[in-house]
Amino acid sequence: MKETRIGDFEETILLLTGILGEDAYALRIAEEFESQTGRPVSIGAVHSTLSRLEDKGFLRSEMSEATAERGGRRKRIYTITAIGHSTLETSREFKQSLWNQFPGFATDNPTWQIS
Amino acid sequence: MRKTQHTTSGYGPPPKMAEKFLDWFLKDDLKEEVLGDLEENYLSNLKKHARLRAKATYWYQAFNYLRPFATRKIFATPIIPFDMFQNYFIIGWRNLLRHKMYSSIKIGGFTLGIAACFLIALYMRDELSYDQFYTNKGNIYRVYNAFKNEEHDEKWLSFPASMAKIMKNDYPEVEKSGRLIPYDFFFAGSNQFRREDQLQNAYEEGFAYADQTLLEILEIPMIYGNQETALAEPHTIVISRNKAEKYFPGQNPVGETIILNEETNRPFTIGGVMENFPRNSHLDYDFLITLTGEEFWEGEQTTWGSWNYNVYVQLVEGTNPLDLEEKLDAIKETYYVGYLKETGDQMLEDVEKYQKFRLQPVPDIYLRSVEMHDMVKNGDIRFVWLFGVVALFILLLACINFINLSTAKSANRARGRVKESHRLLQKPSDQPVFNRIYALQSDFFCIGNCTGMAGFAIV
Repeated sequence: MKETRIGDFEETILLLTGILGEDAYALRIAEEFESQTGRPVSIGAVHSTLSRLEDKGFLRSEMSEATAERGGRRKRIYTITAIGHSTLETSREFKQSLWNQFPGFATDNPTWQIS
Repeated sequence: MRKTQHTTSGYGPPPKMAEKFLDWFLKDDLKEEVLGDLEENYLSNLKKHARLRAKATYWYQAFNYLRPFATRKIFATPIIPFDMFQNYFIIGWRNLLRHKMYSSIKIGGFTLGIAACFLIALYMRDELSYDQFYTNKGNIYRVYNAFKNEEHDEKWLSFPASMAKIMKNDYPEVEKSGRLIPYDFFFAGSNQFRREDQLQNAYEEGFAYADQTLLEILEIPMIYGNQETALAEPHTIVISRNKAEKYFPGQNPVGETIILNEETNRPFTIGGVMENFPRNSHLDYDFLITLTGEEFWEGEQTTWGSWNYNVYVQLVEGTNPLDLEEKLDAIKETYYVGYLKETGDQMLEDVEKYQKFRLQPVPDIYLRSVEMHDMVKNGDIRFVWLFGVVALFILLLACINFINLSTAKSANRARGRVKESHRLLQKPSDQPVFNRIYALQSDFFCIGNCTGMAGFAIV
């Protein structure tokens, strides 16, 4: 059976892929991750996650046209799939429902005693 | 690989080695995009940072691609199926515990065998290490007499005092020659020893007479004083580091005076301190008294009638000792035979016919001097060989015992085959069964080895 659950890092990468749209390839996503989170990440780590997400069916990829600035080599552009999209939404809804159950204030604050 | 063109040619390309490295381990279908990404990253880093840093980053990123998803198949699957073997070892271990008697005999036997072998190997190694430490060991020899006729076959080491000098003077092949008196002879042997400025005598052993040149031939390291001059003056003595520390703690004793056997009219001056002889040297002396200017009685230094000296020579690099041995006959003819004729000695004929002067390499002295009756430390090469053969036999016995027990065991197993056949039939082939048994055997083997070494360490 194919693994369909999603981890925190995977979720972030998936979101970033969606944000970057046409520009979503491993290096760009890694850079975006660093600038958004302030945490360093290697391109290899991002690439490995991207390929895992692709295996799970959350992403699909295509090679772009050749670009001069990288020695004429093509990029692999990732796009989010419908399943990927719905997984992200499920994840957000699940967390939302958890947040809804989470007490807004610390429970030891004095509250009204309604009897 | 695709030929790369760099838009920012002034900055130089990414590190070649890293690219090759990536090319080597990456999956084919990933190469293009990864190399592209890394190069783009490299170029943008070049604009921001120093070149070295950009290169370092490139390497860092390259290494971070060493992940299962990106590497070629050959790296992805382990060559050895560890899980399977782990299972075999567990089963092997349980079997071992179930048959305690069998296991202990098997492991114990192997243990003893291995331990004995190691012990013997160490002994052999030690014996073979004697006198192997001279940097010039191929060129230093000890001279000996060989006398051989129908009745007698004898070898001995003593020579007249003048032998060393004659060899050095008459043969250009002889670079240095030096004498040693290892016998109890005048001060050689043991003496009462004291510093001149102290009154208390102490009994000391390990005295020998030696020539200055012997220090050089045998490359004796000097702590104080000089190898070339320590024994050059008459009435000088070189003492070992041990004795220097004992009698002159914390000071340089060179130039100090010592008295032997209360003979205050013949004091000795310390010319140097030598490093203690290593344990695996054929010599072991604490005191070397100089032979410079020494004449034990009148005419002693020139006569061919009194033989008290061992002679060591250092030959010029590349000399064939066999050629020199032939030439040494001339010494016998001129000096010894001459002396015998003069005195009308009846040995004359025998000496002319049967006595030869021969050379023995110094590294051979310890193990190959059984028939020489020398006064130095000796082992015996025959015992080294004997022990080697014994060790081999012990190992062979241990192995046979091991195999024997194993086959007996598998005969049992074969009898139980009928019962086991059901289980076997479910297996795709006999290979795993073989592996399982093999793992069990290697269990025994490993444990046997380990305990063998442990036992050996305890010994």
